[in-house]
Amino acid sequence: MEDKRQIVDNLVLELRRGTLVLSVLSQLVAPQYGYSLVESLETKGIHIDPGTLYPLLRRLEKQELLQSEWETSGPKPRKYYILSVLGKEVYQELCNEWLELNKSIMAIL
Amino acid sequence: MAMRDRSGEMVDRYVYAVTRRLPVAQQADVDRELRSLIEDMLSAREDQGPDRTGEVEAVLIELGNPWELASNYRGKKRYLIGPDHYDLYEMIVKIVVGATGLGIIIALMVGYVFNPPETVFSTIGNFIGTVVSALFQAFAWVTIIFAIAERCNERNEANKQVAWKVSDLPEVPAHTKRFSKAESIAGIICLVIFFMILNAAPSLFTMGIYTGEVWIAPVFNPEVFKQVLVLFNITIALAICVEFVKLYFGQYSPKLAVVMISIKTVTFIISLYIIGASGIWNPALPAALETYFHLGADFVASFARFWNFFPTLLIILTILGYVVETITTVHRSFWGKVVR
Repeated sequence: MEDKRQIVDNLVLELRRGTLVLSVLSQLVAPQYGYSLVESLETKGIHIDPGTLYPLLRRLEKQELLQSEWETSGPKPRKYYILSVLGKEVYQELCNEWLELNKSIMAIL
Repeated sequence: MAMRDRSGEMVDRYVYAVTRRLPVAQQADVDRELRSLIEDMLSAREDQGPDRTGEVEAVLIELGNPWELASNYRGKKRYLIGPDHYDLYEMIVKIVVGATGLGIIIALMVGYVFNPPETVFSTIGNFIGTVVSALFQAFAWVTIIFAIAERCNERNEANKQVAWKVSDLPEVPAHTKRFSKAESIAGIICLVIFFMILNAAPSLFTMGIYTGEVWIAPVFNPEVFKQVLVLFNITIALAICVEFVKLYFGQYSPKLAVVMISIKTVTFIISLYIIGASGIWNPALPAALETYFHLGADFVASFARFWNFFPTLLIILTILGYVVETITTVHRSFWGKVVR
């Protein structure tokens, strides 16, 4: 039943992929750099590969949902991201959508 | 002494493998970001001796394939020929490469029959070389044209992100309004073969009749033929274009009718010139027949009359063909029935 396992894994991956943006936006009320975000999400049970997260952060910044700044005063230079005003609004709406979706899905499962 | 620490070089190589695939404007920033990330990932690992090679390798493997990472950074996928047109591209490559191969082989064979080569080996080499380079050319040209179309299309797509309307969908055409795919493909193959033979073995068309000692009495005037060859090529190229247009759009439409009739009109005018005004027909043909074949004077006289009339006959046929085709195109484009 190797096939079934693989099909399930792929579908789960797709489900998770849809929730990534929401997860990331939720954590950026305070500034964070990429790897701290990976770790803080990990401790909350959400796994995201750095190779996926870093390009995603950049894309969200390009869409003007995030703002970034290089912090060079510490021992390692780090790029910190934080929600922009637009990002906060979008996050709020996404949250509502998620709750609606969740309600609907729970009702049919 | 401890083994040389190669971790720094590994990081350099990895970062370079990612950033060199990115737009120049992003490279420096991504470089910095990746290095800082790799450092963070390393610090998160527990045991770090003086030699970090093993840890660095593990971290880089965790980060994944640099090609994939780079394509994540780039976001959108890039194509030479995108999925939208790939099927059409594949079909046309098959047709054009197949027809070119067939055409060049026939042309070379015909050339060898009429002009036997002296050495076998060099001829085989030449033969293979010519065929291969013709196939590459055919492939390259089709690919270049599609690649350019793809670029133009990309720009268009970016400009128009408008909603489509159901009413914009074209009506389902009646069978009389559809172009036959098979007919177009057969047409293209014949045209390409004709083009190849015409250009690779022009002697075939100017050689006339072999008496056992000399070539005499060509049907075409060789000098004029050389001059109008380019016109022949233009008409063939235009005809091929028409077939491709038909393949692409699949059905008659008023707009297409205008394009097709314009192209056909150009072809028509060129044909009239070639047949009627270029002086391509060899006027010495009847006399040569008389001299070399000792045919009766009566026969030669009537042949000469026919030969004088021949271009006119061809012109009449060309005009008839043009008129019939234009009427058919207009009729089918503007008045074809629509399937309900």
